[in-house]
Amino acid sequence: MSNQMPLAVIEGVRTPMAKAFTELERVSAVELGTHVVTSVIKRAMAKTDDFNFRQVDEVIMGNVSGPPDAANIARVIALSAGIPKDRIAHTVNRNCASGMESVIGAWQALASGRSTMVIAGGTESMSQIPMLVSPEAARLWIQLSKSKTFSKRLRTLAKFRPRHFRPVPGVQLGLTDPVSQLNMGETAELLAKEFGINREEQDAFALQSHQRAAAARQRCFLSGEIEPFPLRSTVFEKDNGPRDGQSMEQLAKLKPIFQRGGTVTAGNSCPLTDGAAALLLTDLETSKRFDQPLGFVTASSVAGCDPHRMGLGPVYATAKLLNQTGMTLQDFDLVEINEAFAAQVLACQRAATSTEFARNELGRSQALGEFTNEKLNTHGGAIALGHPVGMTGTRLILTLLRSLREAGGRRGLATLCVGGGQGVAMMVETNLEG
Amino acid sequence: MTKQTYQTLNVHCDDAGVLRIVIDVPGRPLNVINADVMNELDAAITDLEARKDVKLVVFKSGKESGFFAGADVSIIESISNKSQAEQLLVAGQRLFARIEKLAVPTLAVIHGPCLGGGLELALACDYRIARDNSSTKLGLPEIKLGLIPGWGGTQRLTRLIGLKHSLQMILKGLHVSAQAASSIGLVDKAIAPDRWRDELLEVINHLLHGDELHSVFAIGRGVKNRLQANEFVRQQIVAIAERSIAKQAVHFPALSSAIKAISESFENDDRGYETERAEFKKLLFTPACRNLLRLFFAKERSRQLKTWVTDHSQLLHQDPIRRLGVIGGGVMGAGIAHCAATRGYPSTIKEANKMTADAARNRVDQLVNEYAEHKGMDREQSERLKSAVMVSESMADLSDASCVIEAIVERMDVKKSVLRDLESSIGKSAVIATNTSALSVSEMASVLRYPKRFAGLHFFNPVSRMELVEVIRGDQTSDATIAKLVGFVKSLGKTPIVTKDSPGFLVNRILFPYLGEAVLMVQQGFDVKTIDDEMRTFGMPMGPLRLLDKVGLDVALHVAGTLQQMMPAAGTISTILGDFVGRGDLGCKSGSGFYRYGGKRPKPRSGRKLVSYFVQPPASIDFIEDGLTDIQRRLVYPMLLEATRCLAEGVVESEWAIDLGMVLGTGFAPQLGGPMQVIHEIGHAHFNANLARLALQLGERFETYEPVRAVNGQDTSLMKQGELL
Repeated sequence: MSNQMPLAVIEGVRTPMAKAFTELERVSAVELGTHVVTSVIKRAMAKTDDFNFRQVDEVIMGNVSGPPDAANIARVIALSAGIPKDRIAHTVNRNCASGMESVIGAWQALASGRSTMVIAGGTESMSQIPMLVSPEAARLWIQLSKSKTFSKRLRTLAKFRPRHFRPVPGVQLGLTDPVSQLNMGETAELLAKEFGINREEQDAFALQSHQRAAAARQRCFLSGEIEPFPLRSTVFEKDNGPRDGQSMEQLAKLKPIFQRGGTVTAGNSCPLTDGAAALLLTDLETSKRFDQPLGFVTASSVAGCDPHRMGLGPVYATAKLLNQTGMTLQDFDLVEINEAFAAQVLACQRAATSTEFARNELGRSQALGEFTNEKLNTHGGAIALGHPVGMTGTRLILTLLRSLREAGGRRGLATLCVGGGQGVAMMVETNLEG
Repeated sequence: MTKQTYQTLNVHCDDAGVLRIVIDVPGRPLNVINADVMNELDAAITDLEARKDVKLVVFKSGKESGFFAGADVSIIESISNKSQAEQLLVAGQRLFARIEKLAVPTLAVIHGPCLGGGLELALACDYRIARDNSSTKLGLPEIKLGLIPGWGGTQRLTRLIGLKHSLQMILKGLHVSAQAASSIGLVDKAIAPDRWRDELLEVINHLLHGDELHSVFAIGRGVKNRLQANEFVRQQIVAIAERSIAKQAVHFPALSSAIKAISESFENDDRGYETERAEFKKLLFTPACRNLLRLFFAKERSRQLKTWVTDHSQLLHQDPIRRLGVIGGGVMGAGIAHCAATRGYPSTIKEANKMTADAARNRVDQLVNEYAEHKGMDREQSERLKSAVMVSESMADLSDASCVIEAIVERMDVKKSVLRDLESSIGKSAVIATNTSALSVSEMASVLRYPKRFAGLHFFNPVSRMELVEVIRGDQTSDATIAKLVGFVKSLGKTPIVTKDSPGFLVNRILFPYLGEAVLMVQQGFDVKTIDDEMRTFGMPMGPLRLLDKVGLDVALHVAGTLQQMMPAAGTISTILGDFVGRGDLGCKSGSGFYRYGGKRPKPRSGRKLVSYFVQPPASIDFIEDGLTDIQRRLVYPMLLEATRCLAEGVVESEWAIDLGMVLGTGFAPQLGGPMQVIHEIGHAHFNANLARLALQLGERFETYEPVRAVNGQDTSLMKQGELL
C-alpha cells in the first residue's frame, strides 16, 4: 500500500469529550455527529471561497454501539447536517479503530474516484448504549404482544420471573470479547503480567496522561480542535476528563476492578466517554483550493493478533506500516498510541524494544524500535481524555497533526489497539514537499 | 366687558365674571396644540393672573368637532435633540402648572375627542364636565406612539382617578366615554346632549357661587383613592402592572416608563414631573418610538387623496359613493355590507337564491347583534342598522347603487360572468369593485364595457376589525375610480393602500413567503411552538403558524395556488397544506390546525401528526450578525425580500406604504416599523450578504434578482434614527 495516494486533511474538529453520564449524557450519537460534520464544513468554508456543504460527496462515520434508532448513523448524520440527499453515506465498525477505519474508507472513496470531498469521522455516545433484556425475557415479551385474549395474556404474564426484569448493560457486552471471553480490562491484566508491569508504573503513566492533557487544556491547545457543544442553557466547551490536581496517592487508593489482586484500576484505564470528531478529506489536487490544509495521511496498515492480547495491536500494525513504507520509528517526530489501558501502552513500548518479541511475533530480526516517552502522546491520551470507541481513531489523527504543527514536526504515527485482536496504524505528514 | 384677540383663542369675559377661553385653531378640522396655541394660552394666562374681576375661567373648544385631538404630532417628530425636547416639556408643564394654580376656579367643558395634551389641559383645570354622546372620548393615547404623556398627564390623572384606573388608561392608551369618565371621576359630570346647554349654565352658576361640584360616585371613589394612597397597596398595584407588561416591555419601553412616572405621582414635590420629562426624553429617541411615529405619518399620508391620485383637482366634481351594492353575502360580503351600514351607507346584498339569501341575512344580523352589544346600542338602533342592509335575489335591486362590490367565489370564470351581468343592470357612473384577494383585476375588467370604473377593493377578514383595505388599480382603472374608492375606504374609517394589479397584491404577497417558510419548517421537523415563540420574541403579536390557523388553512391553500408562478416553493407548501385541508384540519374554525383548539389555550400539535413525512433540515451555516436568531432570520427574510421585490416591481411606489400595509394588514410588529424599516435597521450590505447565505442554505427562493439597494430620496429624518442615539 506504499503507493497509496496521499489523503489531504483540509480541516478537522471534534466535540469536547465528556465522561459518560455527565454533560453529554442526553445528547445522542447522531447529534454529536451532526455537530462535528456541520462544524468541519463551516471551518473549511473559512479556508476557501468556493466550498460549501453542497460539495460534500460522501460521509463515512465510525460507530461501534450502533444506536438502535439510527441503523446507518452516517446517513442520518449527513442528512441532518443538511448535506444534499443525493449524496452517499455509510457507517463503518472496526471496534476501537472505527474512527480510523472511516478515514481508510474515505481513502477508498477518493481512490476509486466516486467522491472528491469526503467527511470521515466517528461518533459515539457511550451514555446512550441501551440496557438490554435477556433473550429469554425478550421471547416472553414477544409472546405477550402476540397473546390476543385476556386469559392468554394473563397466562403469559404468569411466566415472568424476577430475573427477566434484570437489564443487561449493553456497554458491558460491547467491551467483552466473545472469542476469548475476556473483558477488555482482563486482557490488560494479562499484558501487565506478561510484560511484568507493576501497579506503580501504570499509575505513573496515568498520572502523566492527566498532567499532559490538563496542561494542554490549560493553555487552550485542545480548544483549537474543539467546537463547543451548545446544551440547553449552557455551552459545553472543554473536555471534562483530565484532572488538574491528579496525584499518585489518589491513583494508588483505587482498587483493581477487573481482577482480584490485579493492577488495572479505573484510574489507569480509559473511562467510558461521549464524543464525536470529523475530518474533511480530499485528494492532493483538490486540496490546493484551500488555504493550508491541516496535513496529509500518507500510509495506513491494519494487522490482526491474538484477541486476548489485543492490547499489542499497535505493535503489529506499526511493524506492518514500517515494512510498507520502509521507515523506522526514528523517522516519526511524534507518536500517538491510544491509551486504552496504561498497562497496554507500556506493554507496547516494551514489546517494541524487545528483539525476542520482534523475532517471534513480527518476523523481524531486529526490535521494532523505541516509542520514546518524549514523542508519545504529548498532549495526554485516552486515560485522561476518554475513549469514545467509534471516535478516537479520528481524534488521534486530528490531535497528532495539530501537535506536529505546533512542535514543528513533520511526520507522525497514530496507532491504536482494537478489541477482538487487531491493530491499526497510520502515517500522517504535515506537508509533502521537501 | 373686555375682549382680547388671539389667532387661536377667543377670550371674553361676561358681566358675571366668567372668562371663557374658546380655542379654535384655524385651518384645522380638529384643535391641536401647537406652538401658537401654547404661546397664546401663555399670554392669556398671564393676562388672567393680573386680573381681579374674574370669578371663573371656562376652557372650551370653538369647534363642533371636539375639544382637542392632542398635541401636534409633527412637532413631536421634529424634535431633534434632548434639550429641545426638554424646552417643550418644561414649557407645557409650566403652563399647565400655572393654570392649576390659578386662584379662580377653572372649568373644562368637553365635547368630542379630548385626547393627549388636550386632556392634560383639562386635567389642570379644577373641574371638568363632558357632553355624553358617542363622539366624546377622553384618553391619553401617547403610548400608541411609544411615548408617555409629557405635560403632567401621568401625575394629574393618577391623582385624580387613582392608580389603578390611571395605569389602565395610560398603559393601554384607552379612550373612555363621558359616562365612563364620570364614573371613575375623570370628569365631574357627564351631561346628556339634550340638556347640555341648561346644565352647563347651571354648573357655571353653581361654581360662580363658590360651591363645589359633587358627583354621585364621589364617596366610594374617595375611599378607594385613599386606600391606593397607602404605600403598601400602591406597591402591590405597581407590581401587578409591571408583571402584566413584562413581556411586552421588551418591545415597548414606554410601558415601563409610564409605570415609573405614574408610581411617583404620589410624591408631594415635583419629582414625578421630572421623572415624566426624563422618561419622555428617553423614549422619544428610541427606535420603537421613531417607528411608531413614522407609521403614524404613513397612515396620515395614506388617508390623503393626493397621495394616490396625481390630478385630483377635477375629481372634486365627481359624485361620491352614497349607496352600496354587494354581490355575494358570504363572510366577506356580509362583513362589508355591515361595516358600510355602521358608517351610514345603506347597502344591498345580492344573493343567488332564497336559501343563500337567508344565510346572508342571518350573517348580517349576527354581525349587527354583536356590534350592537359591543357598542351598547338599544333595540331600535340595532333594528335600524339591520334595515340599512337589504338582501335581495335580483340584480335589479342594485341599480341605484353608486358602488357595487363583488365578493363571490374566487373563480375567474364565475366572476367574469357575474360582472358581465352586473354591468347591464347598473348606471354608467357607478363604480364596480372586486373583493378578490388574488385574482387579476385587469383580466376581470376585460369583460366590462367601461373598464375604467372597475378596480379591486381588497378587504381583510374580519372586515369590521381590520383597518387596512387594498385598493387595486387595474390597467385601465381611472383616477376618478381610485379617488372614489379611496374616499369610500376613508369614510369607513379604514386606511387605503393603492397597489398595482399583481398576484397577491401587496400584503398577501409579502406575508405568504413568511407563512410558507413556517410551513416548510414544520415539514423539516421544527417544533410548532418553537417557531411561533421565536417570532413572538422578534416582536410579532402572533406566530406564523398560529396566524395561519386563524386565517384558515383552506384560505392559505388557495392563496398558495394563486402565488404559484411567483414563488418557487408554493408547490411544496400547497401539498402540505392540501394534506391538512384533506384531513379537515382547517385551523381555528375547525378546531384543529397546527394547534388543537378547545381547551383553555391552544395546544401546539406534534409535527408527526401534521405532515405525512419529514424532510431533511437545512445545513447549518454561519450568518453575519443582524440581531436575529437563525429561526427568526429564516422566517423574516422571505418577507423582507418579497417587500423589496414589490418595491422594485412598483406594486406600490414607496417604502412607507409597504410598512404601513404590513403593520395594519398582518400585525407586523409595529414597533419595528415594518419590513422596509427592518431592512434599514439591518443595513443593506448585511441584508444582502445574509440573503446570499440563505440562498445557499435554503435554495432559490432566497435568490434576489439584483442586490437590494436603498432607494434614494426615501431617507426621511426618521430613517436616520441611528444618528440620534
